[in-house]
Amino acid sequence: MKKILAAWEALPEEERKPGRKVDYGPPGPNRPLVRPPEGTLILAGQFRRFMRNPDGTLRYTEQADYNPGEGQNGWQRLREPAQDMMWIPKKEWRALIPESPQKGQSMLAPPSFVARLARYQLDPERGLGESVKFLNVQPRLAELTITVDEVSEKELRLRLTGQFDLAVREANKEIAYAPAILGYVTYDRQARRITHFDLLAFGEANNSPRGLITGKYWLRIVYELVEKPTEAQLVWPRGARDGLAQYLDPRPLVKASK
Amino acid sequence: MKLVNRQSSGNVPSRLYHKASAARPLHLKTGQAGRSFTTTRLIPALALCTLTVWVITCTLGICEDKRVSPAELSWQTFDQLHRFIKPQPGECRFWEVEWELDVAAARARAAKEAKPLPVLSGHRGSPLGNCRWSVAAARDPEVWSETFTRLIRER
Repeated sequence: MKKILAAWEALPEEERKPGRKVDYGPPGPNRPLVRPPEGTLILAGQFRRFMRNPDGTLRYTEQADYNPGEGQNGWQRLREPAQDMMWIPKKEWRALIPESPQKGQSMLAPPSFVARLARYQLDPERGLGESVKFLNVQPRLAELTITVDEVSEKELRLRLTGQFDLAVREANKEIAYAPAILGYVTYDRQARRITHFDLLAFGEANNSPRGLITGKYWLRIVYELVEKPTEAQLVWPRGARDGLAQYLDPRPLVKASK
Repeated sequence: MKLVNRQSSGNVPSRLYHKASAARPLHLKTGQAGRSFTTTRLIPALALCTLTVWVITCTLGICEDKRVSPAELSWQTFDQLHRFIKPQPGECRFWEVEWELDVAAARARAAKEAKPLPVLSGHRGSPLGNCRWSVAAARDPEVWSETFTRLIRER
């Protein structure tokens, strides 16, 4: 870094003046930036793995929790939370809002929202690699219920509760994650927009992808609404990278046969 | 932070309580008229043995339910859990930089502010996404020391 800055300082002052006019021509058409479709709800996700202390309390992971090699070498990065985004198309988040809400009323979440969570957004691979582990998952359980907590002329407060039990086999091992879900959503009825969306997933996982952890650990994921995204928060979700249309309208889930 | 199953007391899995209540009808008084030995003695004894084994295994954590009760996630614990997951001071410094996604916009901004431009490029997609090698190389906490982060942000 010092070398780079020294090279910069060595440039003629004319080239380092602020406000210099530059023209690099139009951006290349081959790899256009993908932006979220209009009206999309953008949520930023954080993923973090935990271990249990002997007394049952949870702690952040340490070097010894990972297998030798890639895991133990990169443990400091793996201990930190990993990031991913979630995009919820307008048609779908509108379907989260009951038409004639009554306090205490409950309904099932839209199947496409549940499918996106299962296939893309509850993936224990995040922070470890770039594959989409549960793309073709057949969940043992995938349920999400919306309950109306508060109703006023101004706003609706909704609670999301659910359970997922997701597993795939990889190299004769089961990669599994079985989280409980709790979320809170506030909908501004006058502005007709969601002003608050927090979703928390918390559950036990088994055998991390890439073989970095063998056995059980705890994975917590939090998604929260980003009302004014920075440029970095406009990067597409990992799930959308291989097919935006499939991500925004995911295939319905097929439950695992017993 | 300690997690407590709020459906039960202490650290006993809630499903233990379901099993216990399900076993309750078998607790018949001995010597009831018209009841056979099987009903009055054997079934309760077997139920008691089963329950005892269940209590022991659950206490030892052998049959811990891998699903978390939604009650463990509550309004009271939500914020605490939330904070525990998110980056702590000194973590994820990579994200303290105002990254640009669009190279053309970044170049124009660099020229306007008269700053050199650090460029990170990923194999497929942005290093701000989930490319494994980009993440491993670009976001290594050992690289993103406080000094290095300040240097990138200011210079």
